Amino acid sequence: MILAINQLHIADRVAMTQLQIAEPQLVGVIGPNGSGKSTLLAALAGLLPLASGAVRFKQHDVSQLGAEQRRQLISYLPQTAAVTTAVTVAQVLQQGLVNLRLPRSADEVLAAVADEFHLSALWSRPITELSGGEQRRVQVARACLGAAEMGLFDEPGSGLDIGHQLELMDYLKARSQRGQLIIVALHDLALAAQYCDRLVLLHEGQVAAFGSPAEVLTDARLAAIFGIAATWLCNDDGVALLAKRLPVT
Amino acid sequence: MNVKWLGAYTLVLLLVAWGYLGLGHGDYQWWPATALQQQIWLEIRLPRLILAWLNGCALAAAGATLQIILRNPLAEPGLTGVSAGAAVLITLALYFGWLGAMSAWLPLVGILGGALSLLVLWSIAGSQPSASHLILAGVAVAATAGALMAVILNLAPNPFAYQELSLWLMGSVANRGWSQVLLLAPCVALGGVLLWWQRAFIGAHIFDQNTLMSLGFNYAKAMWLVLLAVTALVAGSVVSAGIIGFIGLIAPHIMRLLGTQRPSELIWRSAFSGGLLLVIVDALVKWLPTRVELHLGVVAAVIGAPLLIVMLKRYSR
Repeated sequence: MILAINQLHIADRVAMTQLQIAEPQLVGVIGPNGSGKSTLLAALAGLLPLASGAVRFKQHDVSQLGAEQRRQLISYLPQTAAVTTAVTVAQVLQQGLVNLRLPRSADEVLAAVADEFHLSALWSRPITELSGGEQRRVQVARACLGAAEMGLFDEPGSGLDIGHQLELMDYLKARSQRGQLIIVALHDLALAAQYCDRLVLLHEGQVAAFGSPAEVLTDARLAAIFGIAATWLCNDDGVALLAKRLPVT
Repeated sequence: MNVKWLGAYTLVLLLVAWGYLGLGHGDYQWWPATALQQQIWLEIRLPRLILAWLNGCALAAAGATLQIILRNPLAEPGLTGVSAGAAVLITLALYFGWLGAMSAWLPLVGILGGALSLLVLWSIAGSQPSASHLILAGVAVAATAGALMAVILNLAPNPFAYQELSLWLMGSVANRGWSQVLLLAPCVALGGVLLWWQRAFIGAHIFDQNTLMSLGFNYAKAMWLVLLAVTALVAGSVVSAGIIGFIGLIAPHIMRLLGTQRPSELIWRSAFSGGLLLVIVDALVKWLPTRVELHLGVVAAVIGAPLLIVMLKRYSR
């Protein structure tokens, strides 16, 4: 078990009796607005106090970790990450290295991330002058610095065009296959079905389902929780979801 | 780039300082020729110059730091209630003659006042204050201190005491000597060392609060160390020169308009430019032929307030 959640309560918002993840993989957290996705991710990142229960990651009790130790183990991209100071992209990422123990030199790490996220053209531009999507890519790159063993991404693709969204999911998938546990909150159910190994479906702060995308995304649950009738189109290239809103009963 | 900046700054500061030292009653003195002039330069004008410079540095560094950590471009030392808290206790000490002949202890009283308002701030805002919480708490503390100050002035035993207190509150570096420099210097040193120590934490404030919290800082400890630094800087300034507003607000804005954005650079550049700015304002105070010498805090406000309006208009465009 690399992640084990037991009797978790977070500030009257989220309650989970049990959730266990056995190995590094890409886990999607889905659910309607207000279902507790961001709260769960923030709690896993150690940012929210737990009302009760425990989160164990590998041999660590996450709520007992010191800030410095947590920094090395867990990387976190908040849903509303923003830089409002007009510093350059390079300076943002440099600042993002703070308190990280790096296996390579800082310059090498920055060069690699600039390459991976195609940021070279934006490198010396003030981040406040970039488009929303470009800023988001910088934020995602910031959260991918270092060699954390668990990566928490809260709607990383929001504001990104479809090409960059797919590229990002490919990247997160590759990281999970290299041994990192990636937990990503998603609104796009087709992306979740296409990429994630496991899905956690949250509804009103409770886990409504946990399992493979096929197990979780049943017609009955989509109708009951999201209020949609779904038709799936799948082939080797990808997954698409045709959805029709059901009349409210 | 930093070396160039420092070089240019030192040159300008030396030129301004030379111009400043020659200013006095009567003809301008290019150089202290007689023994008496030498004494005036070294015993009166030099400490006043250094006091003005150090005050500007302290207030601008405190202002820049508060603007960064509170993520509020309008933050300044007055906002956290620290300067008002320091001023209240100093006024009380002077009013009741607590210290008697030991007026050298006045900065400690000021720091105590600043620290007390910080403690009140802590009790209101909690141990992990968010920026908006801290600002609201600061406004409340400043308002309380302001009310206390009004009561003290209202109850002043005689018009002279009233005048003395209100003049002191206006802020000035006139008629001070090396002893005031020695009061302020340790506060500036303490504040500077603490800010240098916490520079990574301050620098990480380019990120939003949630991201910052995930970057591995002991948030509460780092935040209070930074606030302690601000308190030392502001209390030292209030003790040595009364309340001088606007420098802490204006200097960082000028540096931003000149293109300095990174928090670490912004603080030290604001500090240095704040020092220079206050020396220039004090030179103006000495040079203006008014019947009664104007107070530094008054002139700083008269120049600073319209400048703030211009800047706000520029930002809102």
